[in-house]
Amino acid sequence: MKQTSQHFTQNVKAALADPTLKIALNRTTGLLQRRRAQVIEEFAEYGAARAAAEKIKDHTLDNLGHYLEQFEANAAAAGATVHWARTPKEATDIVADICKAEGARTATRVKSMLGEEIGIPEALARAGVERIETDLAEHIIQLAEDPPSHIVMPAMHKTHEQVADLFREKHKVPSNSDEIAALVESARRELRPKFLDADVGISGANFLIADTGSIVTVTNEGNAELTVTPPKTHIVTVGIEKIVPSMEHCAVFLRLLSRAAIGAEITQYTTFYNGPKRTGDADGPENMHIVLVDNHRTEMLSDFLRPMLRCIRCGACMNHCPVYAAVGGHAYGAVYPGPMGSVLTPAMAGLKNSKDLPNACTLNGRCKEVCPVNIPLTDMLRSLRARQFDGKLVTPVTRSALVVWGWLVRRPGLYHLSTALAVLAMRIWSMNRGRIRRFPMAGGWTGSRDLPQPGRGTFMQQYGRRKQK
Amino acid sequence: MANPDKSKPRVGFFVTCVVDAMRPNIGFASLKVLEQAGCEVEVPRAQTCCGQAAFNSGDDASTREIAKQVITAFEPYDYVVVPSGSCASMIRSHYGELFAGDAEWEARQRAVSEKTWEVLSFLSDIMNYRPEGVYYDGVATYHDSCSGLRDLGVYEQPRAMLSAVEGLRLTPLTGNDECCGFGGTFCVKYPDISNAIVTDKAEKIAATGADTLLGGDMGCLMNMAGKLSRQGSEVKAYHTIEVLAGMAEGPAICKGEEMG
Amino acid sequence: MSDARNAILQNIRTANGALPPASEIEAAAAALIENPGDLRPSFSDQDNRSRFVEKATSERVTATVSEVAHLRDVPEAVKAYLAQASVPLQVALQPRGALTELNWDGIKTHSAPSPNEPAAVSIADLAVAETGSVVFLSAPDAPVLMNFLPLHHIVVVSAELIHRHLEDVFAIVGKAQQDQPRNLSIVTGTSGTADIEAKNIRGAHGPRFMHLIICQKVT
Repeated sequence: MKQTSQHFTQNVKAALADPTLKIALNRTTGLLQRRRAQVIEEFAEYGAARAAAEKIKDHTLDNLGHYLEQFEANAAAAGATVHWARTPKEATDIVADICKAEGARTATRVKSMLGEEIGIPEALARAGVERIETDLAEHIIQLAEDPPSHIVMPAMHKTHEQVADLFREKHKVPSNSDEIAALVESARRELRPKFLDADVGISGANFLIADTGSIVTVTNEGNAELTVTPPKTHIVTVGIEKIVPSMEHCAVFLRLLSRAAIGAEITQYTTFYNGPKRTGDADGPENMHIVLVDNHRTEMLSDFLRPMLRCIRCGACMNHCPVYAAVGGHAYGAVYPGPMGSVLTPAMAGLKNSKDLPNACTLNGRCKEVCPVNIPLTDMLRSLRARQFDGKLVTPVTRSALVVWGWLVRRPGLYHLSTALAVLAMRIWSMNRGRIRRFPMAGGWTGSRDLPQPGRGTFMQQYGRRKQK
Repeated sequence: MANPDKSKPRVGFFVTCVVDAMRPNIGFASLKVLEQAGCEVEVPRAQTCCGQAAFNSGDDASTREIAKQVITAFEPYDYVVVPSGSCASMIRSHYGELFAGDAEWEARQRAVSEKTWEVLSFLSDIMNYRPEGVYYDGVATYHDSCSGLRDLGVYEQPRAMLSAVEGLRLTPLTGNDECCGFGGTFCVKYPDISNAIVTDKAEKIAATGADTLLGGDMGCLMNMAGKLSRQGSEVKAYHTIEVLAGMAEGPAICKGEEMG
Repeated sequence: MSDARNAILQNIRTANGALPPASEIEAAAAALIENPGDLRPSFSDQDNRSRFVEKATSERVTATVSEVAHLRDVPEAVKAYLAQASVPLQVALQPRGALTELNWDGIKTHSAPSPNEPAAVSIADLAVAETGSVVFLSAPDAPVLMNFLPLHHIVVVSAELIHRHLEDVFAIVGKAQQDQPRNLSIVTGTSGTADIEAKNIRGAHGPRFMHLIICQKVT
């Protein structure tokens, strides 16, 4: 997708001016929060599981080379071909080459954010391969030609009324009804034959299991198995941080992932895949390719962003983010929106191209609180601000204001005098109405809310007067 | 510094830059209740700001210098008490990030961080304070400011103390633990997003039917009261400590006062 | 390809430093899940079967359940289910002797599921009490699509193969690479989606209905 994170403020304006977007977001975020809260309340061992998940991920990252090599050997033993790619280009070239070698005309695809990150849709288009998105949300945004706006529910920005209009325009046998169940049925009718006829099935992986060489997909729709079983070739593109030591370790994450993402104890379909079709199998792909992708992950490994590699892409952080709820996912202008995206995008696309993202956060900390692997998102966003400040990526005005403020607060006498004068000025300006509607240079505040009228002098002044009495 | 009564804990009161300038009443209410609770309270002159604005803007060098000033000013006390969850959390939870590798300052910082408290949790958890004979006539709803709630665990303490205030009824706020959109410099850097968030918050406050909004952070209260005032709402916003001190008789935040 | 591999592994080495011996890494990994009981829901007041039924029929999973004493009673249970669901008496059968050898008089059976198969019958290899899930291990007599194409998925579950937790199922399958089936699918209810306004809808791509026939004995 096209990166527009450098135009964050324009994107925000457009998002806030879109009343339908607000309706779509209001209909979903509250529901997702309530479902998650309930299923976690029922899980008495949640705290211990979360702490263990954090430790397992840290252990795996500490020994990442060992586990990747172990995975590679086991996946090869199962009959899969393992590829390595440093960059999105290397990864998509591998995918395109496989498609070409297979003479593929069509490819079905299971939603994978890594696939979006490396640009699989664009790469397939360049290779002349027709792409069929099988995840319902991805199907919707493919028809609408929209980028994804959420990592678990990429069509969260659409209301069901908008989806109904879209399906009426694009589906062969659309539904007459706007009911969500009828829309789902319409997509089922449209997609079912395409599943079975594709030449290549492309998936991501939620987990890689080092000691068995398995790749794991987790879906509610069952579209992963339907996508990768019928075609002759199954291609997996996956980030190297998705690895866990064993299936038992994976169980800890399966319990957390679906609870955090959708408020369910487990998703409907969890499948471990081990290589291609075997002798006597009635179905299954003849070839299985696994592309292990770096794309800045090894850089993050040697950086303060390392804990971000624990992320299991549940989306809970964005479901609980007030900024995301206000502007939606597209405003972030990148594949990964919300708090986790505001950390990942600077790491992947450069801080210069995403200057606003670490700043457009109130640091309220709810994202970290709901994170199933305890990623210190707010701390990392703040550290990215420090990196911006040190790298002179803040505007000269902001920088000077900070420097002047920093200078003033270190001179208490002068500081108290200045604040006393400022307070006096505000008091006069307020004309004793209790609140201030407009104030010079405070338009950011007073544009949408009042400022209170300050008291009779600062606290320090009044306290000084009382002490003298 | 004299300590006339050695049995009383000596509290250094850190008023915070926002309360100092915008709402001294919160400071005086804190002093009153802290003294009622049995503390010996002093207000060091050398205090200004905790450095949070610089820290959250990424200016770590300035923050470090500001933090040193705060540490030096408050080292002599048994406790540092702050009428704000976010400023208390800055000193208690974040100063530690500034002095890694500097053994001397790390030790001094840790000592001050560990004895720093947000005023409501200090009164409840350390001083076991419960108000007596305090009256407030109204139905209030409560916003839990993020830093106090998540960094410091301030949730039950204000509710427990407010339950002892006569005439006051608390009614729950939907989304009480959701950010109000203040976020320090966030609200002026991204005023449109901040406005969208605080507009939602104001709607939820209005939906409670309460006549009073209470909280523990002047920044958030100023944001919500500022929005409510702009909308013409009658809801009165006070810091919890003003109610506990029986000092919520004057004009609420953003409400007019008698000419003095 | 090998360039990329070497570069990635080299970057990891640079970031992580030298690794301890493999045996130490394995021991450390094992220690992290030493007490799995602390990390998963406990349901000490319930036996495996009652927990399984409770979860499988819960509002979130939406399966229906009937019970039979012997495997030979399965065709009657299938007939009863199809009749009450108003589905023609015709099913795709997993090509597994234990199923195909039963007396299916009165129901038309076939082995390869069609793209729009109305109903299919599978035997679950294992089941998980914790989550109300059934587990399918792919094999020549257990094709994968059998579990994904039908609208009504009827699954025979042997009561004695309902295990307590996910980890118990993994232990039975085996830990090593060569123990793994091509596909190990943990299926919990039916194909669902929450992709439009987060509303849960059943029958997205795969089955819309799951009926579990719990069989006392599969002998």
